[in-house]
Amino acid sequence: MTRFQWIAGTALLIALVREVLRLRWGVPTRRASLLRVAVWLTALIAISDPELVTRFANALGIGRGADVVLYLFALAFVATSFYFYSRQVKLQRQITALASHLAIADARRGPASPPAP
Amino acid sequence: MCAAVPFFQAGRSAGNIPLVGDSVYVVVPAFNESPRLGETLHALCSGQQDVIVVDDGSTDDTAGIALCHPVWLLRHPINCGQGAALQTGVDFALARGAEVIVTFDADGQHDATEIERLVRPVREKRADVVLGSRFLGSASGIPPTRWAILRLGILWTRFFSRLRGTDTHNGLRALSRDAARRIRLTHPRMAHASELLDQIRAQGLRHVEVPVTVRYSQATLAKGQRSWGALRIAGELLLGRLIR
Repeated sequence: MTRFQWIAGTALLIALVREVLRLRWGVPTRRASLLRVAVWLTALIAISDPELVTRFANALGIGRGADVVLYLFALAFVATSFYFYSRQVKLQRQITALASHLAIADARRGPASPPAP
Repeated sequence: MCAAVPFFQAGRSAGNIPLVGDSVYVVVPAFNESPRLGETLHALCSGQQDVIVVDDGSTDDTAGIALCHPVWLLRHPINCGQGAALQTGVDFALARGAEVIVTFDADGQHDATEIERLVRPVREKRADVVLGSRFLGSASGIPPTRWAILRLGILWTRFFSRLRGTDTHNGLRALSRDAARRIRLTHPRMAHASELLDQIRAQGLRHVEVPVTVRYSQATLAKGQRSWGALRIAGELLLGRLIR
């Protein structure tokens, strides 16, 4: 094993164990926790055995393992960008609705006649 | 300091507002417009219509100047954008029982005497929405870049909104009560103007254009939208079609 595999593998293993322990203790966001477990586990396997990624790439008709990782990252980037944009738009609409509600509740009326020019 | 009566002290709440008859309400969204707002309101308050100023989180004395005039003042606690300010004003006008709602820019570009011409097609039940057109009327002092961008905006509207018109992004419009209830602006910032045109078509509302005057000055050009803002609006609209 290379030095990188040792360092990255150890870090991923710690993250994985931490997540599994959190799951055992009963975290409120179980689905998100399970997703993180899947991500850490996949990364751990891919780093420990790069040949496995290459075989996976070949099975998909892609030449190199590095390419399949790049494509997956590109797809994940687009998906998360849309997700966060959508979240931001939703939050903006909620804040706007709140600001509008406050403005209407606190409406004020000026004097009955305009000021002298 | 001008005297102001809080809405709640007058025994009124947003849900229990006495209806005002066949009334015209002018909604004026304003953000940091203190140098120009006084003159605009002075012209508007000389007419018969009720005026609603929506202070969109200004950091200057916009609210103080508005409260020196016989107008309703609504204040957004933060800057939400012109589209959001218009929707707040429209919601309030509807709650007050408005029959016709006019939108009017705070920076003095528009002519208050043209409101009657704008309201007439709605009153005569000839249209649900009346759009002011500076290209049917006059646009004095318009810079060539702004002229070109507005022309491109018209092509955009014809292509995407499938609405034939001679102007776009003109803040002077009139809506019937029914149209105002059916149109919901979700784009809080400047893209709301194109969104409104989209909704006119989507809702099957009858619309007409009337000639209006738009006066450009150094002050309004300095404060108003930059030309590159058109790109941002186009981006917002395209993303808005992709992501709901």
